[in-house]
Amino acid sequence: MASIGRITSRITRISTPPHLRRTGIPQPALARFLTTTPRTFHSHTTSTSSSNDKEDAIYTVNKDEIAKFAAMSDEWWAPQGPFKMLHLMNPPRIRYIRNRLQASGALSKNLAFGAGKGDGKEEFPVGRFPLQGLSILDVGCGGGLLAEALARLGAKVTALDASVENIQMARIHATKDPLLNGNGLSAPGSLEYRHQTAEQLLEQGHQFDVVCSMEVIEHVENPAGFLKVLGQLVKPEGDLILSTISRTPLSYFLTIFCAEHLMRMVPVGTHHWSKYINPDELHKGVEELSKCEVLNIQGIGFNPLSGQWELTRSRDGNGSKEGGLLGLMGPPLAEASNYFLAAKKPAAAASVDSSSASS
Amino acid sequence: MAAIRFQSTEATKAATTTEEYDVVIVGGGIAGSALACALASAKASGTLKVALIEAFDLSNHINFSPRPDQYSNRVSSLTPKSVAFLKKIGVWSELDLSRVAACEGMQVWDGVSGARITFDAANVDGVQSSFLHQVFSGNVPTPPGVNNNTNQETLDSSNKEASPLAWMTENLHVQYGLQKQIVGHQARGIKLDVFEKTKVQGITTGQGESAQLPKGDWPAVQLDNGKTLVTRLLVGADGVNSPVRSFAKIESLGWDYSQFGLVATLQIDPSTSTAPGQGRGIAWQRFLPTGPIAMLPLNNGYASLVWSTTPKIAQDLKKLPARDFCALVNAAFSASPAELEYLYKNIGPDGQPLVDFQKEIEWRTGVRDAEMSQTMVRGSSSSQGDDKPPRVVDVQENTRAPFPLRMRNSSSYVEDRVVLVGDAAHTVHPLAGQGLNQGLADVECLTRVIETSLLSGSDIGNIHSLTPYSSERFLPNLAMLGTVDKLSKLYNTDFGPVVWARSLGLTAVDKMGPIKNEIMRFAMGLEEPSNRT
Repeated sequence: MASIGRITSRITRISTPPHLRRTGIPQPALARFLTTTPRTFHSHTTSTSSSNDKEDAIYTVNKDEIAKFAAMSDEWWAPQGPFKMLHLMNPPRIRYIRNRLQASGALSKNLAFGAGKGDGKEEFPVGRFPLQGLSILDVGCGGGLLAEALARLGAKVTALDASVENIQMARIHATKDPLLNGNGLSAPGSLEYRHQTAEQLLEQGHQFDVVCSMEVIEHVENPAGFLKVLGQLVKPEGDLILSTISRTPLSYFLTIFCAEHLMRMVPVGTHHWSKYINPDELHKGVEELSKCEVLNIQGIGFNPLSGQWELTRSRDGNGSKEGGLLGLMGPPLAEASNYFLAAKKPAAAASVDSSSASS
Repeated sequence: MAAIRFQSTEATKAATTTEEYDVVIVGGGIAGSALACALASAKASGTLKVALIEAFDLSNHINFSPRPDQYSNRVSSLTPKSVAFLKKIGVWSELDLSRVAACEGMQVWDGVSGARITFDAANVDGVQSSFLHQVFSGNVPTPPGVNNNTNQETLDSSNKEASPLAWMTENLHVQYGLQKQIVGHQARGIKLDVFEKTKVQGITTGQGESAQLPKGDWPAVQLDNGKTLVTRLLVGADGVNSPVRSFAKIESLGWDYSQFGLVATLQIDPSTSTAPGQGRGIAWQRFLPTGPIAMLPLNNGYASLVWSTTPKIAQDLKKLPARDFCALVNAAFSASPAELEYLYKNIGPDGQPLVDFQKEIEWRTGVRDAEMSQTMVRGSSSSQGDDKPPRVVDVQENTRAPFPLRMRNSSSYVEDRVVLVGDAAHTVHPLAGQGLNQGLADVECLTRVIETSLLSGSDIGNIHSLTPYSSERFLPNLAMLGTVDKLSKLYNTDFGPVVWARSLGLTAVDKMGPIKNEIMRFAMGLEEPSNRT
């Protein structure tokens, strides 16, 4: 409902670094993807760009969107503020990430894996720092809601946002918790905020065990380019975890009509329904552009009775064991609004070339 | 530069006396100590740095070494749910089970009409969770602690046999178990600091006096030993007049009953006791127009008294000589309200009886016995020979203590970085013996909520992390408070139609198995009144 986006880039566009130009997707592949999906990912449409730079134009920006969220940056951490729904969404987000990382084997083997309490609700390895040893990139971190939580769980977190105000807000907030700034109570995790774009980070040659970008892609200018960059930021055999909103009548009703207009939970204009991406479109985009194998798609919905977000049943049927009303709900309805996608990058980096070469 | 230097010396000074904690628990009573134990024993929360602050000397508790013929006057009835929780956090195994009395049955009757309801643990099918369990398990009660499934989920351990309705033990005894566990946790390196004989001088927020400390919204607790504890989460387990609640500006709503409770440890005539052996007993409760009187079974021929009555009578009862006090207690369980009224009036201003209570009672015994036997025929479906309360022969010295009865519920149990548990959150009339059980249920819930928050990387002090605790506990506590309050009002009258209606109700409920089961399940903590989804 409250997919309040986190924007990835402040700069309108940057050039693809040379090493990417070599391995990047050739134009035909991208073009085919864009034409065969029901909804094309936004391609670059500003008048200043010539068709020649299209291939190089990997930017994910929308200046208006950045300004919109920067204006709200002070309110990121107000418990009852416009980001309340995101605050509430954070625990199930973390659960999803932990579940998927455990399923993909990314969680460290030497940590104690608990048998759980037997009620099916606890499917995580027990212990307070299960993400210890993982490097995680959070693209579009906003005020740092997700990034702080990941760092508290022991991960080495790098968090990016295109808005300098967001990054400042996030940095200030992180200093309040000794668990995040390294002094005081001991903790294995770390948290670094950068006012950078994903592309800039890639240029510097960084790669991560896990790349997350939650409720961001529906706010970026060029989702196709964005997915490509995200895929390249994932280490081989690493994980890519995304969340966004489906473009359905239900999502319009929930995220725009209810959340923005009726309940005024988030400011009017937070969402653009036309930028929402359906699960099948994102699935295809991740496989073809991010070059990652999609392992799971799972919906999440706000249950007004419990006042909590609840994961729905996933496509593979191994869905939410958490119970809750929405846990009973399966696709396609389950994915008709907010949903997650988890993908894994293949071991061989060569697969990027081979798949594009074959097209 | 001078200013900066000055500031930095200030900061250094502050740093020596200021410490950071994840959780600071104000109040080392049962709820607060149980929370410290529960946090220390859970996997994720066991890594938290916790402080427990108590104004009194906790060494009294850990040095608890009572004589077998002495019982403290503050006794609680622990529901199966509470016992399961105490087992889970390792406290139950610290207890001396010879000082824990299992209560197998309960007799409740109306002092005005004589209508009666009988509860028997063996009849409560809620104890066995399913039909299959009932079929395959004998109804042989097992003493507590025999089936010590500490790792099982709360109710599992009580599923296998008909559990007693409740276990009676002294609050001091539970405290002893808690302190033993706390020391044990400290010994195995858990970061749990206990500040005893330490008072909270003030609580502030957003202080930020020291540059080394996290600023912002963490509460800072100033202690009278000069230390300041800055904490991510502040827990108010500090009783009915909770300073933590005042700090959080949480309102407490409720009223004082114009009633006092009087507690005492009684010695009963073994020949009249239905519980000659250890660990088996019946709880007796009679509703009088002045309030309910209850006798809870203890071991070795002792029982604990909780007598709710008017402030005046409570003070008189405290002063009466032991012999007359016992006579009056016996009368309160058998004589008519009018006869009791007569006896109350014959307590002199110096606390000496104006008539011979013993003789008065004996004189009326014949009449009473006849009345009782008639009542049994009319009102009780399952008397089973448990129809007469045991006769009280003595009261232990210095155990008679009156206290005012109150009902309170906080308008909220949580604020950002503040949470209330136990009496700080809610205070209940003791007639149902649910106060401590509610507090333990709070602690169990809060521990679970904190554990969940830790596993999702949340800041455990954040209001959103704490809200599930509030939504899970607020309504059940309110329901219990409301029910107990209504009961107390319903029974504090001898107005004819009300007496008639409530007697009809009591007798009817006694006949209706399923409803009775539901009441028992609720009273035993097996079920919350509002089922969670």
